[in-house]
Amino acid sequence: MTISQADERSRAANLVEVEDLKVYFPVRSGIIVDRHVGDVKAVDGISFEIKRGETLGLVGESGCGKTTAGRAILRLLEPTGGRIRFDGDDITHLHGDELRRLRRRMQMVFQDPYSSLNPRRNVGNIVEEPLNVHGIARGKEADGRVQELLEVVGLPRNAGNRYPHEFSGGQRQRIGLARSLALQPDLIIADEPVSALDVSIQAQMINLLEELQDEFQLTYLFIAHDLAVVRHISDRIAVMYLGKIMEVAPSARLYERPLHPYTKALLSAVPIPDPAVELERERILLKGDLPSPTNPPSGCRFHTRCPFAQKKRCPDEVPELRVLENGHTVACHYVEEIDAGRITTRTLEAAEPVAVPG
Amino acid sequence: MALLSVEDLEVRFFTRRATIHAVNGISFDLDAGETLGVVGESGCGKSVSSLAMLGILPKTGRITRGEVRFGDRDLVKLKDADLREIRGRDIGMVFQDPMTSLNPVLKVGDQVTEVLRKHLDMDKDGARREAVAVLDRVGIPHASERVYDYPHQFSGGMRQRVMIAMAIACRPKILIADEPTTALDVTIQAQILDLLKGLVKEEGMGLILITHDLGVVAGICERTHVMYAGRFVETAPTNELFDRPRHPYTLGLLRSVPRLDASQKEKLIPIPGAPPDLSILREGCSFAPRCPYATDESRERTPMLEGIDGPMHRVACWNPVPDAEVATVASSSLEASGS
Repeated sequence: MTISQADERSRAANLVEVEDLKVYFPVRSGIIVDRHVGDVKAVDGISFEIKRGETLGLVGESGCGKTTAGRAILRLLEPTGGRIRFDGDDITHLHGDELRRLRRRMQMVFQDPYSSLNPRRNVGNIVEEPLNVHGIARGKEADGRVQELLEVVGLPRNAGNRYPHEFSGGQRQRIGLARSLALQPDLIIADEPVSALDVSIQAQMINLLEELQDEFQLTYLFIAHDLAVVRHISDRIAVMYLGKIMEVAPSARLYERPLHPYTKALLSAVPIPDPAVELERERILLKGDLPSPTNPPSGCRFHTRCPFAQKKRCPDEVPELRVLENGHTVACHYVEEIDAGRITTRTLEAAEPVAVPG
Repeated sequence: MALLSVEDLEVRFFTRRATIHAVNGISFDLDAGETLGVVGESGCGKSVSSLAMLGILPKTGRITRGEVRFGDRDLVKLKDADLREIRGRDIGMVFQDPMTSLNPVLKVGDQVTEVLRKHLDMDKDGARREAVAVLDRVGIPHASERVYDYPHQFSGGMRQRVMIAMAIACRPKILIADEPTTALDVTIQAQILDLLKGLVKEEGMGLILITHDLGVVAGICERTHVMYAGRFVETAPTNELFDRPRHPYTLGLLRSVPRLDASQKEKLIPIPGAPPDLSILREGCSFAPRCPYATDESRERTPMLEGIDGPMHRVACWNPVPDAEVATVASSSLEASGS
């Protein structure tokens, strides 16, 4: 098999391919003269792929760039650099009609069910709008379709005549989901879709997302900060820190054997609802806060907080994402040594004062 | 004697449209050095009850029944001026949102100093020194310089540390923390919980931790109260509560959250329906419409908290989850912890 054949085959299996994606937000200064004084490097060279029909979880703490990455793939933001391929086509700089046609195939579910629905339009109109915009259905035909969609997401068929304020948070999130399903997309990017919901309602939504995936062969990019939720729903997980991907692995493996020090710390910080387990667990406490993405640390971005950081390489050499066994990809110079126990945690001195955000 | 003793507390909100039955008779004791958890979903009344205890309910809210005993005084009957003395000095409070709870136009040091000068009558220099010391204790690096910074110069986690510093500056006997880590990232949450645990241990403070996160409760609280629709539906030592949840709601909560350490990808079992509308006070158990164990009795008569499996474990339910069912939960969690 030649390289190009292998390439082609993997491309057929991948719905989305992201290569060295960069999204910078310029920082400007000056009232009369508009000077470009720097960049917030929200996403700084990330690569990953999403296979057809899988759920890729994107996790990280606030400010790590996970939402920006999702928006760039949807082309709601213009990428500063890199390449995004969707179903084999380069969509990095599409615009106009082509972009609009593409958007039919990728939809978004937002975090906040209170601000993502227009309060002045009834639910029927909200769910119907994508059908009108893309000229797929109108009038009676659209009404029928809306009723079907509402039923699919577990709302009564006649919910279309009511307004968003008449629904609870969980039900509103279902409305948002019905809207994003209206165009029968291939890819759904869900940005913290359950974070605003109460725990008893969260489970309803997570189960619904899973059922819909089976029913409509959907591919999900699931962006969230809650590692337990992400692990539950994802096939693979990518962990982000300060605009970079630190580790990608199948979700069961990531939990059983996290390799990157940041992933280890992140997983150990998640509280588990079981006092017996909590008592036994070893916790890796990270010192200090997330550094500013305007002026990220040199070398490995995590080295300022990493309990395993070494004087050599970590502060000045950016670690590449390396493929280890079993689809496990890690960006750390010393991952083998850490895994073998040759490098152990050291106590960090008190953290540096936090950089002023913004 | 208990440090704080709440007896049959009831809170109502009187709005033009309706009366909201926010808290419907809760009772509990808090001892020195004890960490008490109150868990429940939004709107269950867990925050309102803590605001009521401190006498800082919004204008439409009123305590309509009950006592809050602190020492030999009933906080419900105290005058505002007396209550103000106790708040901040004897009882500290930390709120959820560190972004809006600090004054943005005052230097952080001045905000901590203010508490000390008001309550402990310290002079300016003494208060300043003490402020630096307390900021240092909550883990703010370079505290002596950072007292001159404004809140916007701090990150979220650091702001929450400042909030905690203000709350413990006067060495209160009780600290009430209402979702202190909900707005924070997990790695920062772990830092803050660690800090709170340390403070309880060193100072012998009584801590009331209000949260929706069962994981947080599991890690830090000795006793836990589960709240639903303004009532405690189950209360037990935390170990016992997680091992043998007897109220269907507690069991439902535990089954509906995905666990990071679950042994396999189990399907989550959600609680059907949604919490009740608190503007209508119905007879019967308020969880009955969502409860798989509900009977005619539970729809008609309101159950009281009563001892089950010993006096420490109490549940308000006509049909507590049968032992067999609980056992399956316990064994599955055992499996998980063993893996």
